[in-house]
Amino acid sequence: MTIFLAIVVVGLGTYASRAVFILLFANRKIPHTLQSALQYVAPATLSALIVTVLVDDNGQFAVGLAEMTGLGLGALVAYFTRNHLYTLVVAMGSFLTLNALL
Amino acid sequence: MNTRSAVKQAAIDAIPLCLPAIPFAFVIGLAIHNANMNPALGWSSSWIIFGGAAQLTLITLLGAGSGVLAAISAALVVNARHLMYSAALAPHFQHQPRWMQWFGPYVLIDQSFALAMLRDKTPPEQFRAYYLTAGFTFWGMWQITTALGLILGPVVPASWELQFAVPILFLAMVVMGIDGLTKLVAALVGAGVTLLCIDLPNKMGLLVGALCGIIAGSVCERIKP
Repeated sequence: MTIFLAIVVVGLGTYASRAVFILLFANRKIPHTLQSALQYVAPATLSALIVTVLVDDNGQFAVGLAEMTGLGLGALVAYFTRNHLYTLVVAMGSFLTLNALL
Repeated sequence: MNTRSAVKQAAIDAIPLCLPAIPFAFVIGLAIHNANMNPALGWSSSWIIFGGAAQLTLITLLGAGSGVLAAISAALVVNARHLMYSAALAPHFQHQPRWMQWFGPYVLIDQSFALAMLRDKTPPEQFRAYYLTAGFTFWGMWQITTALGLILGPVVPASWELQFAVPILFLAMVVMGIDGLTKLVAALVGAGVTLLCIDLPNKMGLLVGALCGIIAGSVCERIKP
């Protein structure tokens, strides 16, 4: 039940963030400060998330050589190909190979 | 362009953009499984939230045992980028009927935003047909692939360590979104501060880190020559 409520709250919040300017501000300008801050939401939050999901159950930042290599190569592939699938294949492939070798 | 060709064009434009979302949908299916969540409940996030990054954030954080409020706020912060899309598209929706202004935002995701911004010269009626066709193509694809991920994800052997795909996909999104020094600063500060705040309860370090990253990016933009 709690989980369902959490999903509904996030759903409503997400809809609100998509709709608010379309519904209310169609004819008005958005404050410049807000507009400029909004573009940093995605990079700042997503990279904070990467760190968060790499913390193991004991609260340790669990990144060894295999993880580092996977993430590093993944970043390069993402930058040059702009393709999620290639990124995933290269990053997972190098991570699993190193994991098996080490 | 008439309405019919707008629909056709939207389908042609949308389908290739669906492909990169498929591994993402599979990882969400797997995350629902790993979080020990009821599959139907987890899948309901696909049509209630309809936003991959927020769904994945909410599900992984709930599964990792962080507080419900922390998980909800993190997911909402992740999806706050839609404010930017809403603001940018507002002028395109000015000449749309009221129902479209209410209904259209439901399918406003990264891909539909990117496609809609390229159609700013299209007359209202065709714009509507184009936008809704593209939006609901993504929507339908998302419902099906996340359901498939739920079925197929758990079948994959644990030794494949598919959960590592979660940070990889987030990293891919960060890298593809960085188009300048200020965003790079925002990303690095966001990650660095989160790492420093790792011991905060309920994964609150995530919000502290994200906030610091946003401030760092904004400050950087202001002092940049």
